[in-house]
Amino acid sequence: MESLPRVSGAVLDVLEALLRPDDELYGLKIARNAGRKTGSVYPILARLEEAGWVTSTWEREDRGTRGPRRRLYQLNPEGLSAARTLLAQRRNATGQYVGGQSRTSRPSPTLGFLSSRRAAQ
Amino acid sequence: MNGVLVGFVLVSVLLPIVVGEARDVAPWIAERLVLWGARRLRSKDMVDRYSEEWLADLEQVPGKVVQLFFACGVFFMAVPRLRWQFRRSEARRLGILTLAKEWYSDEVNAVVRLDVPEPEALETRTIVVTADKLDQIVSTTTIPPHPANQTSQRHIEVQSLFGVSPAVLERTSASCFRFVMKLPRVLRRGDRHTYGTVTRIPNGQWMQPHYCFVPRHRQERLTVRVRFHPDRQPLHVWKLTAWEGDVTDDHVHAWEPLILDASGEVYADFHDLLPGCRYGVRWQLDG
Repeated sequence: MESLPRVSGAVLDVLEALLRPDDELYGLKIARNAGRKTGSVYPILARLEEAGWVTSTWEREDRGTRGPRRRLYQLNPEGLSAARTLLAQRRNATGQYVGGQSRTSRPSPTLGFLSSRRAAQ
Repeated sequence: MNGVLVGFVLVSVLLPIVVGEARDVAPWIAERLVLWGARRLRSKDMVDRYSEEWLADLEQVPGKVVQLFFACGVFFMAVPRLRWQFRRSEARRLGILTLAKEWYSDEVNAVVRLDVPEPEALETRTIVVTADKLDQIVSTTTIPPHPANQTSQRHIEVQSLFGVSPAVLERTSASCFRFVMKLPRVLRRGDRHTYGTVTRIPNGQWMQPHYCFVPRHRQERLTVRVRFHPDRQPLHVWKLTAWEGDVTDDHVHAWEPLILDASGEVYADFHDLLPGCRYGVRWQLDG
């Protein structure tokens, strides 16, 4: 697993969204949970995947619909540990991340793309 | 009075119709935009993956107009960033970014000989020095594994023909090699120097059926001549120009076919090469 060369506030938000106890995290949902635009979240997910933090798989085809499958993202064990460490380091300084628990006060807009860009943490 | 009436008709009758039509056509535009964006990723694997992923996510977006916003976000934000990331990671994989930016190739002329027992590429390269002083050149070569023989260890031999003395050849990954060559004299900024090397794939190792060149900087010219063995003539040959995707037969429809001449050779000429893109020749042998 590679270290991330550049960790922006958006990357931290995406990591935090990936830490949520949800086994159906696809790009749009991650963007919503992170409060970030989908246009920036897909490249971040690609970077995390290339660096070996995240694995992605196609959802099962027996979801009841025939059509395009969603791509589901998940932190792998190493990525999980590294994400928790990184978030604890970065968020603790501002008191925004405590003990591996996601923040509950984060605004969660209907669509990530429409959300306003927050300042980097 | 008439003007007011016309304005009233336009606002009260035509505008809702236009808005309604636009709302109805928005999902169609959104779908096309997402697919068009995915196709710009070039690599077939990436195109297939993101086409399906984005269409699936698009289905989850509530509201026809909002779907259009989602598609615009993908097309105008995600796609350019992903293209840049993929190009950068490809360049890193090939070792391009690790090379010292002390010189660039202005012109490369390559002759690939497949009519000899050990395939070889004779390259003549003219470089331009951008550093204050330069006494050696570092170059990389990648010999990707053949699909039928993925696991075997690959080796190459590099010899100097003229203009440089070979110093070190080292393996940087399973298929990537770094070659350090000593220059005959110290070159200064702006100097041009031409040297020649020959790279061989020994011991009957399988090789991918292509020769590709990836410039680090903008490059003026590249010529590639491939000479095939008389008993192993290719069924098809293609020219790859500014190609950003994988070099697999899945993309042959996008490449320009080349015709073998009477000597069993093909020739391709390239100008104004773009950094990070592939230029070269791909062939398909019988069986």
